[in-house]
Amino acid sequence: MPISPPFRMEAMNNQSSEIIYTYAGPRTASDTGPFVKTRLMIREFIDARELIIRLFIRNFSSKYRQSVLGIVWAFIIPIITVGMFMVMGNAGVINVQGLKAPYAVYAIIGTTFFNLFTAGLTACTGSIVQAGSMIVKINFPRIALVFSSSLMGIVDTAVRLILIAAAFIVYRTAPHPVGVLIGFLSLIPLFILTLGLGLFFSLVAAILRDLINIIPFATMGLMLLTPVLYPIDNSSALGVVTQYNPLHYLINFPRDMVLYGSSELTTGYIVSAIISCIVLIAGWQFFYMAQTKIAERV
Amino acid sequence: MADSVITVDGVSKKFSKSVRHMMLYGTLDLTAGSFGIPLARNRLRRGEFWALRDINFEIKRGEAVGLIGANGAGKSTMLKLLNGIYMPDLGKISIRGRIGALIEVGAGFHPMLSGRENIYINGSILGMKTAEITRQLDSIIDFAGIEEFIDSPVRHYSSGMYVRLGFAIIAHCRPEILLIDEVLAVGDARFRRKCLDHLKQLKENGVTFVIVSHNMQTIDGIATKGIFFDHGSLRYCGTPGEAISHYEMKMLGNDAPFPETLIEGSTKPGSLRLVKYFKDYGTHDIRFEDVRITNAQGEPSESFASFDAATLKVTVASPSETKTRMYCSFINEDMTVCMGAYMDISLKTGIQTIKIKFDPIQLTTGRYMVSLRLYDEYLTNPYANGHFGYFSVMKGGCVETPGTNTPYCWRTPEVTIA
Repeated sequence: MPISPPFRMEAMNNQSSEIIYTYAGPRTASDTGPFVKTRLMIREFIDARELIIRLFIRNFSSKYRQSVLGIVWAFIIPIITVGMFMVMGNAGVINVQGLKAPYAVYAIIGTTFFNLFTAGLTACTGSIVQAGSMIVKINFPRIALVFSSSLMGIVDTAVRLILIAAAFIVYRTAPHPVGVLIGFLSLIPLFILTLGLGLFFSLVAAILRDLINIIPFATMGLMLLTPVLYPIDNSSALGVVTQYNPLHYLINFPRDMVLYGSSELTTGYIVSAIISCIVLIAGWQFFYMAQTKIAERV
Repeated sequence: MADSVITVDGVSKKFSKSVRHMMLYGTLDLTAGSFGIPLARNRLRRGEFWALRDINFEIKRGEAVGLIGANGAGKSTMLKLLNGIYMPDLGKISIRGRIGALIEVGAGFHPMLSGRENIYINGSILGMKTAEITRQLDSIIDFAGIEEFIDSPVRHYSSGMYVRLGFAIIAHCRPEILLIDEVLAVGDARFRRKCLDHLKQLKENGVTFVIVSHNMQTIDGIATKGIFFDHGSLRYCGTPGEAISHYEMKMLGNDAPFPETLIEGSTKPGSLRLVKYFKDYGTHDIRFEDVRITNAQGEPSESFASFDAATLKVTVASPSETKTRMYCSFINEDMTVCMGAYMDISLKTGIQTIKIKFDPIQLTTGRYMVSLRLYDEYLTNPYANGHFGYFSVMKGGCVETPGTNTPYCWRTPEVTIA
């Protein structure tokens, strides 16, 4: 079967598509004027959107095709974690009194939301290193690797929604009818923060591989610092730290909304959401600047 | 220049030799870059080297350019710079037109996923739209010739199938500029043929090529311009023939990796040296006194072109009149017999010279030895043997049939005895 004409004349005559490569990175001859970098970043993202989806499907299908238990894995770990904390609560190691909702429901929602952060961050951090040979051999928008990996974090979390639903049924309680919707939408800043950090870490990990090994410990530490599995006592030393922890607001505001339909953390949440956006913009800019210097070092 | 599609202007690229330096300088560069601190880039820091140094050239629309040079000369780095995978440390590269690159076929294939799924993924990575891939899917599968296995995971594919699928995808990408890095070496003869035909078709359609290859026949067959790299510098840019001879000079120079196991040397000017012989094999009643190879003018020569006439002159000392059969063959650097012939010769008593005329010599580029074995007429009793070297054949290849080493004709050598 003959291949259809390998190129189109009109494409050949399109002279505006001259690309210039210098140390500063690629740009086209027409890219001048204010906000060049921002425009280039947005164009790169738009060009990459089909690839992001394609890579996401690839990650998703290869992940679940290769494991026997498949989706069950997403349930086992949170159940074990929550179970451990229930035992500790009963033994009096941690204080889980004073909750208006059943502890298990509270804890499962917390770990699920926190997982959006950890799973996303882990996936993003490893995304460039794992692509390894591809980075060195094909020129494609690298940003697609990080964005598609961050989507995996969402899927992981979405799968655990089944667990949350099950917890509500088992404990015969119901989420707040309006709050549940607001609660899930208010997770967006957490995702933005994850992506911003992920963009930054993915490139740093390409040079300093240690980062990939550090991330799991770091997130575990963060989980203990953040009141995910137990309510915080504001007067304690940890409570003071927690007041300056954006993750506290980004996780507990949505949880409060889902459980009760209201939260005392609104101000802190809004500030944290703004911080998240700043982190994303900074991370993305760093990524854009640094990606051209990374291929030779992967 | 209006019609130049690639302009490389004063480009240099440096790399770190060790991982430790790479991590250190990588961190430094990124930190400096984040805060907008300019770094002196035209100096080497400790543990760095120039992979490419001050490269300038220009490629016009529709040209097919072969990049040649020894391993580590900087060809692949150049290709990656053209592809925008690396950014130059100094200088500037401008590219006009959609670029497609075959740096490594199958890079980006996911082993767990099927061929079909990988076509979509790889197509997207190479910048094709989903609708475009769907439209071309059948054609891609057909070109790769793997209909039967298209839904099997690619990790079960043979390396040939891998390459075929990879090439088929890139072939459907409709690039205006195509960069190819030594990928056609894999795959069987039929598929290589198909690829070369496809490349020729693209060339006729005005696609610009940049090819890296160690196969001079590929370069010779397709290139209209040759660029020779040596140790990170551009040494020659011009006709492919001239570039190839620069490369061959380099390859066939004194540092060529030929197994030198000299046993005894003949010091006569113009003679080939005895490189190797099997001491325990043969009666050695008859001796090879001198072996030389001469050109069309009858002068001893060490260098020939593929289609030159050459005469092998073997001087033999025989103690008696003997009917013999002589095997004469040319052995290349891989110790492979490239061409051989045998001839029945009646030797007289004393010293005589056997002249074997090869017209043409019909060898491809390379460095050769002459292997001679002398038997009695019934092949039961070997008299003498020896490998004599070296001579080289330059500017090789059978121009009429690129991609094969088969001589286009065969003529029995003429044998005369004096």
